[in-house]
Amino acid sequence: MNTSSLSSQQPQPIGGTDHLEMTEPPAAPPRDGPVVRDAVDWDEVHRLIQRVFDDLASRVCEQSLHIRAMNGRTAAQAFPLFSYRTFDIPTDHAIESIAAGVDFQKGPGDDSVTVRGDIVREDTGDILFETEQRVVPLTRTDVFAAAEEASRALSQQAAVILDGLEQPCVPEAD
Amino acid sequence: MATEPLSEGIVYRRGQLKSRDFTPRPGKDTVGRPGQLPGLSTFRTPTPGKRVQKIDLARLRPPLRAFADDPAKGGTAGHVAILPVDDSGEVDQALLEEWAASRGSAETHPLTQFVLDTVVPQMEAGSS
Repeated sequence: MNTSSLSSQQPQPIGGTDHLEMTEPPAAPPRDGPVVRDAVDWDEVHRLIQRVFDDLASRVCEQSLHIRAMNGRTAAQAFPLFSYRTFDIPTDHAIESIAAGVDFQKGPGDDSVTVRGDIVREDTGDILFETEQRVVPLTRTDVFAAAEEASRALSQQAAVILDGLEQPCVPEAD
Repeated sequence: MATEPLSEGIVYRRGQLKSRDFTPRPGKDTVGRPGQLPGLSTFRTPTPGKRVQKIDLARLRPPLRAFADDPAKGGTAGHVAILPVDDSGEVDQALLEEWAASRGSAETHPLTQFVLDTVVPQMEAGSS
Protein backbone atom coordinates (compact mmCIF):
# COMPACT_ATOMS: atom_id res chain seq x y z
CA MET A 1 0.00 0.00 0.00
CA ASN A 2 1.16 3.40 -0.91
CA THR A 3 1.39 5.73 2.09
CA SER A 4 0.75 8.78 -0.02
CA SER A 5 -2.84 7.61 -0.25
CA LEU A 6 -2.90 7.27 3.52
CA SER A 7 -1.79 10.84 3.92
CA SER A 8 -4.69 12.10 1.90
CA GLN A 9 -7.19 10.40 4.24
CA GLN A 10 -6.24 12.17 7.40
CA PRO A 11 -5.25 15.49 8.87
CA GLN A 12 -1.80 16.80 8.17
CA PRO A 13 0.60 14.91 10.42
CA ILE A 14 2.28 16.88 13.11
CA GLY A 15 5.99 16.50 13.50
CA GLY A 16 7.23 14.54 16.50
CA THR A 17 9.92 17.10 17.07
CA ASP A 18 10.15 20.67 16.12
CA HIS A 19 12.12 23.76 16.78
CA LEU A 20 10.35 26.61 18.39
CA GLU A 21 10.92 30.28 18.40
CA MET A 22 10.50 32.21 21.58
CA THR A 23 7.52 34.46 21.48
CA GLU A 24 5.91 36.89 23.82
CA PRO A 25 3.58 35.29 26.37
CA PRO A 26 -0.11 35.57 25.56
CA ALA A 27 -1.83 38.71 26.67
CA ALA A 28 -3.49 38.45 30.05
CA PRO A 29 -7.25 38.12 29.91
CA PRO A 30 -9.40 40.92 31.30
CA ARG A 31 -9.95 40.57 35.03
CA ASP A 32 -13.54 41.72 34.97
CA GLY A 33 -16.47 41.11 32.75
CA PRO A 34 -17.90 37.95 31.24
CA VAL A 35 -15.81 34.89 30.49
CA VAL A 36 -14.63 35.07 26.91
CA ARG A 37 -15.09 31.67 25.29
CA ASP A 38 -12.76 32.33 22.41
CA ALA A 39 -11.17 29.46 20.62
CA VAL A 40 -8.09 27.93 22.16
CA ASP A 41 -5.02 28.28 19.98
CA TRP A 42 -3.22 25.00 20.65
CA ASP A 43 -0.07 26.23 18.94
CA GLU A 44 0.05 28.98 21.52
CA VAL A 45 -0.53 26.50 24.35
CA HIS A 46 2.27 24.33 23.02
CA ARG A 47 4.64 27.29 22.95
CA LEU A 48 3.72 28.20 26.50
CA ILE A 49 4.48 24.69 27.75
CA GLN A 50 7.72 24.51 25.82
CA ARG A 51 8.90 27.79 27.30
CA VAL A 52 8.45 26.27 30.76
CA PHE A 53 10.14 23.08 29.62
CA ASP A 54 13.10 25.17 28.48
CA ASP A 55 13.74 25.89 32.15
CA LEU A 56 13.42 22.21 32.99
CA ALA A 57 15.81 21.27 30.21
CA SER A 58 18.32 23.84 31.39
CA ARG A 59 18.30 22.42 34.89
CA VAL A 60 18.61 18.84 33.66
CA CYS A 61 21.21 19.41 30.99
CA GLU A 62 23.45 21.61 33.11
CA GLN A 63 24.08 18.51 35.23
CA SER A 64 25.44 16.55 32.32
CA LEU A 65 26.59 17.55 28.88
CA HIS A 66 25.64 14.08 27.66
CA ILE A 67 21.90 14.53 28.17
CA ARG A 68 19.91 15.48 25.10
CA ALA A 69 16.53 17.20 25.32
CA MET A 70 14.11 17.27 22.40
CA ASN A 71 10.65 18.74 22.18
CA GLY A 72 7.60 17.62 20.30
CA ARG A 73 3.85 17.46 20.09
CA THR A 74 1.05 15.28 18.83
CA ALA A 75 -2.67 15.69 18.39
CA ALA A 76 -5.51 13.37 17.44
CA GLN A 77 -9.27 13.12 17.57
CA ALA A 78 -9.38 12.52 21.32
CA PHE A 79 -6.79 15.07 22.31
CA PRO A 80 -6.04 18.46 20.78
CA LEU A 81 -2.52 18.54 22.20
CA PHE A 82 0.16 16.50 23.87
CA SER A 83 3.23 18.70 24.32
CA TYR A 84 6.37 17.04 25.59
CA ARG A 85 10.11 17.15 26.15
CA THR A 86 12.18 13.97 25.98
CA PHE A 87 15.49 13.43 27.74
CA ASP A 88 17.98 10.80 26.76
CA ILE A 89 21.67 10.01 26.67
CA PRO A 90 22.41 9.28 23.01
CA THR A 91 25.80 7.83 23.82
CA ASP A 92 24.38 5.24 26.21
CA HIS A 93 21.60 3.03 24.85
CA ALA A 94 21.44 1.12 28.11
CA ILE A 95 19.70 4.11 29.67
CA GLU A 96 16.01 4.35 28.98
CA SER A 97 14.87 7.77 27.83
CA ILE A 98 12.36 9.77 29.84
CA ALA A 99 9.66 12.15 28.69
CA ALA A 100 7.83 14.94 30.47
CA GLY A 101 4.57 15.96 28.89
CA VAL A 102 1.22 17.64 29.32
CA ASP A 103 -1.82 16.23 27.61
CA PHE A 104 -5.21 17.77 26.99
CA GLN A 105 -7.94 15.25 26.35
CA LYS A 106 -11.44 16.10 25.25
CA GLY A 107 -14.22 15.98 27.77
CA PRO A 108 -16.16 15.44 29.76
CA GLY A 109 -18.66 17.04 27.44
CA ASP A 110 -17.94 19.44 24.62
CA ASP A 111 -17.01 22.40 26.82
CA SER A 112 -14.14 21.05 28.86
CA VAL A 113 -10.79 19.31 28.62
CA THR A 114 -8.95 17.03 31.00
CA VAL A 115 -5.38 18.15 31.68
CA ARG A 116 -2.61 15.98 33.06
CA GLY A 117 1.16 16.23 33.25
CA ASP A 118 3.48 13.32 33.75
CA ILE A 119 7.06 12.14 33.60
CA VAL A 120 7.32 8.64 32.21
CA ARG A 121 10.00 6.19 31.14
CA GLU A 122 9.58 5.93 27.40
CA ASP A 123 9.88 2.20 26.85
CA THR A 124 8.41 0.69 29.99
CA GLY A 125 5.76 3.33 30.64
CA ASP A 126 6.79 3.58 34.30
CA ILE A 127 5.27 6.68 35.84
CA LEU A 128 7.94 8.66 37.68
CA PHE A 129 5.79 11.66 38.47
CA GLU A 130 2.33 12.89 37.59
CA THR A 131 0.23 15.90 38.34
CA GLU A 132 -3.29 15.71 39.57
CA GLN A 133 -5.68 15.35 36.67
CA ARG A 134 -7.79 18.48 36.19
CA VAL A 135 -10.95 19.14 34.26
CA VAL A 136 -11.11 22.73 33.05
CA PRO A 137 -13.52 24.70 30.87
CA LEU A 138 -12.48 24.86 27.25
CA THR A 139 -11.62 28.55 27.32
CA ARG A 140 -8.36 30.20 26.46
CA THR A 141 -7.96 31.55 29.98
CA ASP A 142 -8.60 28.25 31.74
CA VAL A 143 -6.56 26.15 29.34
CA PHE A 144 -3.59 28.50 29.59
CA ALA A 145 -3.76 28.49 33.38
CA ALA A 146 -3.93 24.70 33.49
CA ALA A 147 -1.11 24.35 30.97
CA GLU A 148 1.12 26.64 32.95
CA GLU A 149 0.31 24.96 36.24
CA ALA A 150 0.97 21.45 34.93
CA SER A 151 4.14 22.33 33.06
CA ARG A 152 5.54 24.27 36.02
CA ALA A 153 4.86 21.32 38.31
CA LEU A 154 6.83 19.11 35.92
CA SER A 155 9.60 21.66 35.59
CA GLN A 156 10.28 21.34 39.33
CA GLN A 157 11.11 17.65 38.86
CA ALA A 158 14.57 17.89 37.33
CA ALA A 159 15.88 15.56 40.04
CA VAL A 160 13.37 12.89 39.05
CA ILE A 161 14.62 12.99 35.48
CA LEU A 162 18.27 13.00 36.49
CA ASP A 163 17.73 10.05 38.84
CA GLY A 164 15.87 8.20 36.13
CA LEU A 165 18.63 8.73 33.61
CA GLU A 166 21.12 7.09 35.95
CA GLN A 167 19.32 3.76 35.85
CA PRO A 168 19.82 1.24 33.06
CA CYS A 169 16.91 -0.14 31.06
CA VAL A 170 15.10 -3.27 32.13
CA PRO A 171 14.22 -5.02 28.87
CA GLU A 172 10.57 -5.94 28.45
CA ALA A 173 9.20 -8.88 26.55
CA ASP A 174 7.20 -6.89 24.04
CA MET B 1 -3.97 -15.63 7.62
CA ALA B 2 -5.80 -18.09 9.87
CA THR B 3 -6.73 -15.66 12.63
CA GLU B 4 -9.74 -13.39 12.24
CA PRO B 5 -9.17 -9.70 12.97
CA LEU B 6 -10.87 -8.10 15.95
CA SER B 7 -13.41 -5.49 14.89
CA GLU B 8 -14.21 -4.14 18.34
CA GLY B 9 -13.04 -4.05 21.92
CA ILE B 10 -10.75 -2.01 24.12
CA VAL B 11 -7.01 -2.60 24.34
CA TYR B 12 -4.24 -0.71 26.10
CA ARG B 13 -0.99 0.63 24.74
CA ARG B 14 1.83 1.35 27.14
CA GLY B 15 3.35 4.85 27.11
CA GLN B 16 2.31 8.44 26.61
CA LEU B 17 0.76 10.01 23.54
CA LYS B 18 3.96 10.58 21.57
CA SER B 19 4.25 9.34 18.02
CA ARG B 20 7.04 7.06 19.18
CA ASP B 21 4.67 5.39 21.64
CA PHE B 22 2.31 4.48 18.81
CA THR B 23 4.85 3.21 16.31
CA PRO B 24 6.22 -0.35 16.22
CA ARG B 25 9.89 -0.98 16.91
CA PRO B 26 11.96 -1.89 13.87
CA GLY B 27 13.52 -5.31 14.10
CA LYS B 28 11.41 -6.30 17.10
CA ASP B 29 7.78 -5.61 16.34
CA THR B 30 8.23 -6.36 12.66
CA VAL B 31 8.89 -10.03 13.34
CA GLY B 32 6.17 -12.44 14.38
CA ARG B 33 6.59 -15.57 16.47
CA PRO B 34 4.51 -18.68 17.02
CA GLY B 35 1.00 -17.68 18.01
CA GLN B 36 1.73 -13.97 17.59
CA LEU B 37 1.68 -11.76 14.53
CA PRO B 38 4.10 -8.87 14.20
CA GLY B 39 2.84 -5.35 14.85
CA LEU B 40 2.21 -2.74 17.51
CA SER B 41 1.72 -4.47 20.86
CA THR B 42 -1.37 -3.81 22.93
CA PHE B 43 -3.00 -5.62 25.82
CA ARG B 44 -6.53 -6.44 26.91
CA THR B 45 -5.85 -5.18 30.42
CA PRO B 46 -3.87 -2.16 31.65
CA THR B 47 -0.68 -2.73 33.62
CA PRO B 48 -0.74 -1.17 37.11
CA GLY B 49 1.87 1.52 37.67
CA LYS B 50 2.37 2.07 33.96
CA ARG B 51 1.13 4.91 31.82
CA VAL B 52 -1.25 3.36 29.32
CA GLN B 53 -3.56 4.70 26.63
CA LYS B 54 -6.92 3.19 25.89
CA ILE B 55 -7.54 2.21 22.27
CA ASP B 56 -10.94 1.50 20.75
CA LEU B 57 -10.44 -1.17 18.10
CA ALA B 58 -13.71 -0.21 16.42
CA ARG B 59 -12.04 3.06 15.43
CA LEU B 60 -9.18 1.38 13.57
CA ARG B 61 -9.07 2.32 9.92
CA PRO B 62 -7.79 0.22 7.02
CA PRO B 63 -5.23 -0.97 6.32
CA LEU B 64 -4.79 -1.49 10.06
CA ARG B 65 -6.27 -4.52 11.74
CA ALA B 66 -5.98 -6.02 15.20
CA PHE B 67 -5.23 -9.68 15.87
CA ALA B 68 -5.26 -11.45 19.22
CA ASP B 69 -2.46 -13.89 19.99
CA ASP B 70 -3.20 -17.59 19.97
CA PRO B 71 -1.88 -18.87 23.32
CA ALA B 72 -2.36 -22.48 22.16
CA LYS B 73 0.31 -21.86 19.54
CA GLY B 74 2.72 -20.02 21.81
CA GLY B 75 1.23 -16.54 21.83
CA THR B 76 0.66 -14.43 24.92
CA ALA B 77 -2.82 -14.44 26.43
CA GLY B 78 -4.31 -10.95 26.30
CA HIS B 79 -1.83 -9.65 23.75
CA VAL B 80 -3.24 -8.00 20.62
CA ALA B 81 -1.09 -6.89 17.68
CA ILE B 82 -2.10 -3.97 15.46
CA LEU B 83 -0.66 -4.21 11.95
CA PRO B 84 -1.31 -3.28 8.34
CA VAL B 85 -2.80 -5.89 6.05
CA ASP B 86 -2.99 -6.04 2.27
CA ASP B 87 -6.10 -6.47 0.13
CA SER B 88 -6.11 -10.22 0.77
CA GLY B 89 -5.91 -9.74 4.54
CA GLU B 90 -2.32 -10.87 4.84
CA VAL B 91 0.34 -8.99 6.78
CA ASP B 92 1.63 -6.15 4.64
CA GLN B 93 5.21 -6.69 5.68
CA ALA B 94 6.67 -3.92 3.53
CA LEU B 95 4.29 -1.35 4.95
CA LEU B 96 4.84 -2.62 8.49
CA GLU B 97 8.58 -2.21 8.09
CA GLU B 98 8.17 1.24 6.56
CA TRP B 99 5.95 2.18 9.50
CA ALA B 100 8.46 0.86 12.05
CA ALA B 101 11.32 2.63 10.31
CA SER B 102 9.59 5.93 10.97
CA ARG B 103 9.85 5.48 14.75
CA GLY B 104 11.76 8.37 16.23
CA SER B 105 11.62 10.47 13.10
CA ALA B 106 10.44 14.06 13.03
CA GLU B 107 7.31 13.26 11.03
CA THR B 108 4.37 11.26 12.32
CA HIS B 109 3.73 8.30 10.01
CA PRO B 110 0.13 8.12 8.72
CA LEU B 111 -0.38 4.73 10.38
CA THR B 112 0.81 6.16 13.68
CA GLN B 113 -1.75 8.92 13.29
CA PHE B 114 -4.41 6.31 12.53
CA VAL B 115 -3.68 4.60 15.85
CA LEU B 116 -3.50 7.89 17.74
CA ASP B 117 -6.96 8.63 16.38
CA THR B 118 -8.32 5.47 18.06
CA VAL B 119 -7.37 6.71 21.54
CA VAL B 120 -10.36 7.01 23.83
CA PRO B 121 -10.46 10.21 25.93
CA GLN B 122 -10.09 9.44 29.62
CA MET B 123 -13.29 11.21 30.49
CA GLU B 124 -15.42 9.94 27.63
CA ALA B 125 -18.79 8.61 28.69
CA GLY B 126 -18.53 4.93 29.46
CA SER B 127 -14.77 5.18 29.76
CA SER B 128 -13.20 3.63 32.83
